[in-house]
Amino acid sequence: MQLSTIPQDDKLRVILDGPRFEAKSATDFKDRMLEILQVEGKPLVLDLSAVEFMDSTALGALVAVYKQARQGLGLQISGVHPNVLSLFQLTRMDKIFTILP
Amino acid sequence: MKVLIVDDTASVRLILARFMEKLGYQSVLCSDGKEAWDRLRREEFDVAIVDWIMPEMDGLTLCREIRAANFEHYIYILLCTSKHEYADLLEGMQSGADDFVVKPPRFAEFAVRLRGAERICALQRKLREQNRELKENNQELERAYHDMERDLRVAGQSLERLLPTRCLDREPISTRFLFRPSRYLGGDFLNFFPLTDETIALYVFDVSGHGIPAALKAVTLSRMLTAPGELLLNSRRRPRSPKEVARRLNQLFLDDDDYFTLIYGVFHTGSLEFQFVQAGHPAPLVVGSDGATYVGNGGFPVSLFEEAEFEEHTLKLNPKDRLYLYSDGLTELYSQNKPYGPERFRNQVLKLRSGTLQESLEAVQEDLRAWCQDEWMDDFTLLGIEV
Repeated sequence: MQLSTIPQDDKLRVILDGPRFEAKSATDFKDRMLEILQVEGKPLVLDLSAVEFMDSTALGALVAVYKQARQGLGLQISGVHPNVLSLFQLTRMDKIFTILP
Repeated sequence: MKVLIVDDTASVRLILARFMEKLGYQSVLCSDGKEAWDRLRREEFDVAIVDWIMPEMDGLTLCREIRAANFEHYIYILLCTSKHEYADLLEGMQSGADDFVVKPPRFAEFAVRLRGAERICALQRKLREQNRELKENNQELERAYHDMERDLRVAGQSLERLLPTRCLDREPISTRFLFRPSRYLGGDFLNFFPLTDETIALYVFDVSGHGIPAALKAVTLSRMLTAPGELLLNSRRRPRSPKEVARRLNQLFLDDDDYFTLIYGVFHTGSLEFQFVQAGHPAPLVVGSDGATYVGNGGFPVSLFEEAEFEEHTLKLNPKDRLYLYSDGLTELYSQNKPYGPERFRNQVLKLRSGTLQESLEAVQEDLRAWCQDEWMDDFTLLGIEV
């Protein structure tokens, strides 16, 4: 799993590599994201455009990061692939996350 | 430092032995290459001072033998020669010598060369020591890994023992199921049992995450959901509504890091109604006389959000209708970058409408196997219900 960051206006874009975001990278993702949240004093935009498949454990990690972020400056999600969107819809996360077009 | 001296000339051997004594090294004397080679295989030496030209086995052959043997410890080879042309040195180096001394032996030169050897040998010893430590650590890690694997296997087995031991048969529904646990343990589980005289409880769940925490949670959850106790029945011993059960579970498990998806339903034997909550779990598939449809449009998983609200659906079934509950391991079985998918599952189930319920499950399993071309199949759960 690779995360890269690009400053964008007053936010920080975090790009996750793909195409599969699964259990084996979930812990790593969570740790890195929590670190970014702590270090960067900016709202985050998580760019998922490279991710074509996300499993339930990865979703759990994403929710954990989201919960942490909403106590601070927030996290938005962009580039949601149709497969990933159906997972968000199945679990109602589409109602929880702020999803950018 | 222990030095082996190999020279066919007795006087040279004696001179060298005296040098070693003066330098404070222990030495062993051999008069030809063959004798030296026997000795080197039995005993550990740090340095070999080898004469080039000897009967039986010459110095270069001895060098090559030593290097080819690939001993666990390094032997520093000092080739002793009266030749000193460049081409000869090159040949000696290629045979595996580390350094050269020119005959006749002079003490000052030996002293310098052997101090160099000593430095190399010390480094070598340090490296071996570190390697040994690494190896030990590695073995410890491996042991820990094996213990963990065994624990996971045991945890998986204890979960499997909790599976229903007999299926329902015309009471008034029939049930059949397939359960394929993950190698690293799945948190998949299912069960069905009479809840009251007029109701049957049915459920499938999938705990996210892997390993011991997921296993423990799956065991706890299966225990809680299988006993017709306070969680499932109210004070008047009537079934609680499925969404109330989900709400209670959500509160009970809220603190945990991971979550689970669940379909919990109550089948009413009189009205043939199936009342269920779909908590982030894939939608049930209903097969009736007019085709196969997925029912439900998702819902919050359990234990992710305190504020989660759960919705309930009621499905009116008719005699001969079938209902399939399953885990995402089935629809998300990937092969060549494509998931098996809900459409293929639906078509497969429709195709087997005329066979028995058991046959339909087996056919789905066969189709999954064909889909992933006998490669490794992921864990999945499939529960079939027939009215």
